[in-house]
Amino acid sequence: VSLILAVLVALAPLGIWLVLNAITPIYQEEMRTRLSRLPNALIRLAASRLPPNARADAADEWQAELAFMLSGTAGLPVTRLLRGTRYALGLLRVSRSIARELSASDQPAADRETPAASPVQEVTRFGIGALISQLANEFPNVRESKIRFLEAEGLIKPTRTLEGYRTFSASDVERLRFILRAQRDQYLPLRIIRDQLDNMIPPQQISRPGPGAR
Amino acid sequence: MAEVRVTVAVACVLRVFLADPAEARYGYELMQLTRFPSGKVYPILTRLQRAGWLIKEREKIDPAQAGRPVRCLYRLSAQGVESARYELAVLAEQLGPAALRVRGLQPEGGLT
Repeated sequence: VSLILAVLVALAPLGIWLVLNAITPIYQEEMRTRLSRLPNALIRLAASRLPPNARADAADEWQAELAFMLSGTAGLPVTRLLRGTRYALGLLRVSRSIARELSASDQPAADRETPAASPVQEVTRFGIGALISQLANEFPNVRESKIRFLEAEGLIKPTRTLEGYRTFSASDVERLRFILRAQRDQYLPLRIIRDQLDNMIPPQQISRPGPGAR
Repeated sequence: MAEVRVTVAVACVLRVFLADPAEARYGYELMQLTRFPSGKVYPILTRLQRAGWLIKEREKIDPAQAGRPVRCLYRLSAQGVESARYELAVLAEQLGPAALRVRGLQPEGGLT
């Protein structure tokens, strides 16, 4: 009898392994279809705790991130699902403190007074068309090709969107005005203009006096 | 202008942004880069955005074409770059070797 028992004990792990292997695919499919609703529901719950004007935005943003997480290629579907659920639970946990953060200063940052330390504030970025229409008052003849040329010459450095479109900030516009004026009024070659621009101190490098500053 | 208390966690997030100030980052991307959970990253992002340090933008994609919803990106404002650089410098000074020196025992101009 003890011999039979010993054999059974020895075979038990093998049996459990076989059964698990058989049910795992079904289990995974079930998890994917059913449980992917869980993180989404958690996110909606987290968003519902925010001030009314921020709810829709937050839910959109978080659900987009979740969709990206779940559709990714890294890891097994179940792993991704767990990651998504952890993401949603984390948001749910801090939704109250995010809500406090939002209502503490309930006005958009763009409306606030710009501190004297930073005369140029990059709030919006715009495409090349909007840039040309901004310059059109003073420089009606500036075309897209001119902007591309100045970029190729290294005088302006617009950032790119994910799709590769150039985007410009307010400080880029100021830089462009400076370049175009120097060309128009002083007939300066680009080499000289570039030197002048390089010698100007970028605003972010001006140090602010304060505690710890020497 | 809301004051930002730069905790170590806030500093970690700012450092990721300052690595390439022109680069916009997704929330999830920041979680991966800082190894912070969502519960840590999003309150910080909200705080920095309300303080005007970060700008939140929507991705310019067509959701139907991309096959996924439009995601949001965060980018440092010009003021954010300046403030973040300054605050990280202050923090580095406080945490660096200089902080180990006991005030009063050290001559003003260093050892000469």
